[in-house]
Amino acid sequence: MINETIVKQAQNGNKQAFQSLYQEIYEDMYRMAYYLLQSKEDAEDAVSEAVFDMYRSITGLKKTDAFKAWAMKILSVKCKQKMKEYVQRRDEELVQDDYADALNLEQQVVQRTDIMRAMNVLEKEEKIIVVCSAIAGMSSDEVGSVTGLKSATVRTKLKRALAKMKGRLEAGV
Amino acid sequence: MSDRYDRDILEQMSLINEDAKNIHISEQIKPENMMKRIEEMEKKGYLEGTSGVINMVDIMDKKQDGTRKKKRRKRMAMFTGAGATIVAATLTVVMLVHQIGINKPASSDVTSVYADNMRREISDGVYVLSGYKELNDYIVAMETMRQNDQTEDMKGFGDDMTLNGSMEIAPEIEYSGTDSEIDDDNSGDSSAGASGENSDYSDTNVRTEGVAEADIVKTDGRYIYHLGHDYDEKSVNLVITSAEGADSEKIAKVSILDDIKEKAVEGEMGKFLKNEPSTKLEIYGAELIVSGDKLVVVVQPHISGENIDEYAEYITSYPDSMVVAMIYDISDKSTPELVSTLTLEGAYDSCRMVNGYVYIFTDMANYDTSSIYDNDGCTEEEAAKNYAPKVCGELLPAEDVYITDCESFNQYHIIATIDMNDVSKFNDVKAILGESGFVNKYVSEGNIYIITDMQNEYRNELNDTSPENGTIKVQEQSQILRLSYADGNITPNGSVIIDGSVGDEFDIDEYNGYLRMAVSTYYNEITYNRTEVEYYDGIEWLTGMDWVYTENWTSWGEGSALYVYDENLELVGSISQLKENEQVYGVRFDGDIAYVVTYEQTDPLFTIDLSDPKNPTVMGALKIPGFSTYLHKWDDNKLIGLGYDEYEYIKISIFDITDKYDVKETDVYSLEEVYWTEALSNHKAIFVSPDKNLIGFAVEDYCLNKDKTRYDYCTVYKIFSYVEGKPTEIISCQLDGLTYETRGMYIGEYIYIVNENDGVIVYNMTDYSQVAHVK
Repeated sequence: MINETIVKQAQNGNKQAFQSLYQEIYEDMYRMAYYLLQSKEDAEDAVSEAVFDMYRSITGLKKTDAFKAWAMKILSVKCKQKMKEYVQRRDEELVQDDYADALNLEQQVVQRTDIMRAMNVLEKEEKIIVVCSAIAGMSSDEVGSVTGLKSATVRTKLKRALAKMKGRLEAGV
Repeated sequence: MSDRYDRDILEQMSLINEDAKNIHISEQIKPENMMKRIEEMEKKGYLEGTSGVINMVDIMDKKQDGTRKKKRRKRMAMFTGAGATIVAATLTVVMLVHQIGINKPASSDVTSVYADNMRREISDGVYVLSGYKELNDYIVAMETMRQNDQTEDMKGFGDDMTLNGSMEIAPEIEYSGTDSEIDDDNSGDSSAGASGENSDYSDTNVRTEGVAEADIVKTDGRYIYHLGHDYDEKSVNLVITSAEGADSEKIAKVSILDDIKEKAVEGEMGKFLKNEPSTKLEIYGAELIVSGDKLVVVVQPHISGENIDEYAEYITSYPDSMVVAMIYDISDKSTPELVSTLTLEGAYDSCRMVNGYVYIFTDMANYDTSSIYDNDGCTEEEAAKNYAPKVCGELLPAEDVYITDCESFNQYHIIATIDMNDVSKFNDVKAILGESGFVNKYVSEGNIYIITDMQNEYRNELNDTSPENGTIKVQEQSQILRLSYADGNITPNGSVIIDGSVGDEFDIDEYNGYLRMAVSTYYNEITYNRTEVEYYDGIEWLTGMDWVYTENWTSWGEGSALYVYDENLELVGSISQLKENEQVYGVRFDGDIAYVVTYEQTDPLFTIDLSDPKNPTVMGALKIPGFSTYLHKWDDNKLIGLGYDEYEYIKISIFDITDKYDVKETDVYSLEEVYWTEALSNHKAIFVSPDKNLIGFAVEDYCLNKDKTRYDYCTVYKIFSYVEGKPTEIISCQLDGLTYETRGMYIGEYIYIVNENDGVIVYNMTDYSQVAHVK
């Protein structure tokens, strides 16, 4: 359970408290990273990096009631960095004609559902909005604080993104 | 706050949620394991020191062979399948690898070879390249340069990059001042060439008077044109209904899908559809706009099939990335005739119409700039077809692609215009290659503004003259690009980078040559130091000096600000902090006055005096519970706000704006148990007519269903009238269809409520009784 007392304990260096906070959100964090990055390894990396950062910087978290949004913001930055790498990584493979590597990359994905495939029609930010809302169950306000958007914009973008995905899913591509 | 969405949306979200529950959670990141890794790292001292974030950047090898600038990126083995020790060890490495200033190519070299020779500046901060090969080289060069070097004008990083201090304002440009005279006539009409009967009707609620916007329902005062879904056929139908009060009837129904398949076969797409019978076309959404006896349906078909990749080569680079403009001759309303089909690449954004020219906006991802290098055997144009925008099957000439001073080149923002007097081709098509992410498009009377959030590349702020260590405060920025659009010709007209983010097109406004905007701001503090690092140059590990920086998550903040720019896009006035920790929610500019709603817990409605552009001042701030996301000026004394009340129900607020220094909320109407309406976020979904004293929008209401058998979420169109100082509900019309596919309007003496599934329902304006239902 996340409450301000536990956040304060964690801020005072109580590892047990930090663990119990993380306990509440780690599944959401992993799923979010997994859906965004579509790779087990990269999801593990992103979550790990985010958790180390959270542990280092929790003392300064002022809005103690916004623990989850704060964690997700850090995670989303980690994921964005990795998504950026992908494009560059793919460029590199194309440049080097290294298609074998490209194939390996595909195989790294152990579990990829139709929904994950459908998500590929989305922009980076749209992905983050969908994942935060649908998987992490965050409100548009919280998603707004992750993406730096107003919640009304988040709701509009979410609707549009879902409509895009729906088109893809119904077509069964 | 909990959000209430349409049933459809909720269902889809729970579907995704269920899907995600099946994902096996990695053991590595489970709490007990994670804590072990943290303890391990603590023992080694890796988690001590600054309370910030280590920024993981992997290694770049910049190879220059004079002709080609290829980018090669080596992936770090970060944490892969790692136990605690490996993680710890890797972390040290990662901390050390971000390199700037090692092995960097002389910036003058890059600049002279790529920037100066290749690009030609055509407007401030806007450039063209001579060909796609050059465009591609340029992008690679710019990215390399940015990652290696710092732009020279970034010296002031030592100062706090506060709101005004860091304004990177473009120097003089010629403001073409061609604010073409547009009649303000929004409801009368330039377009109803028809036998001139009803000029008394309401058009789609628009952002800028005189700039018409495409929507799912339109009218010309005599007929109602709407697009209805056919979920079985996976198509959209164009339906024309005569607007004759009780005698209204449906006079035409055209399947857009059939028309694309049957009549648009002349083009490249037709060729492909004929040759590849497995190809399936489906349509999930479209918008339309009417100009005299021409009607344009803009649609984004979804294409699937066995040989879809081959198809992509015919028309667009990516299968789903195509927008089709279908132009119908509707001089005979009963048989609309498809006269022209134009295809354009990208994802559909929106569509405007001014003075007989239609402007279609799309955005297209730019993935494969490097693929050109693999195409040594083919011509530059053939290679470019793989990634550059195509228009009606032809490659858009490179001279029509503009680039700007930005950090990344991930998206083409495409504008295509159609002269309604010659619909056989696009009048003009221009693409701007720039930042991806959130894009807003605002069209004023004379200019198009494309506003994109920029990627924060704060390492660019550091250079050789920077102190060894310190902190910088970095603002999130947006780029605003201005293009004039007189007579359907798109011409770049300057650009500027601002601190902050423009939420939607109502948050920015051009008036008397000044560009004013209310923005949400966000900053983050970056701590850095210059230290000796190890880095990998693609072959071996080397040592050199580099910046290591951390994002300080504990020192970030948000706020809201207001800026005024002049015709030359120079900042002339600002309110740098409207409200700390509160972001901008709803904005309405009204001449010299701006009304701005910010929100965190209460709803401050700021009234701002802009009569002296150099000195905008807050006249008053009204605090009330809840907040508004949409503001509409009712008359000189009243402003209407649509938003949420403190119980999260939808509310309509009436503000008395007679005394700008003392704006009051005189009345609130809360729609109990109503949590969502499209009108909160889409201005086209609200119907406002102060003349007829009508406000309407569709809501999702929890009420008895149509069969009166059980309570359910239902679509209800509500119309309000302002009676004796209060909004009063006069019509509540339950519909059999989706909430966000519903529009209301008046034509002559009648109110028409149009739903994609339920047809047209007609109400009498004298006693508000239902007189017809045309299915």
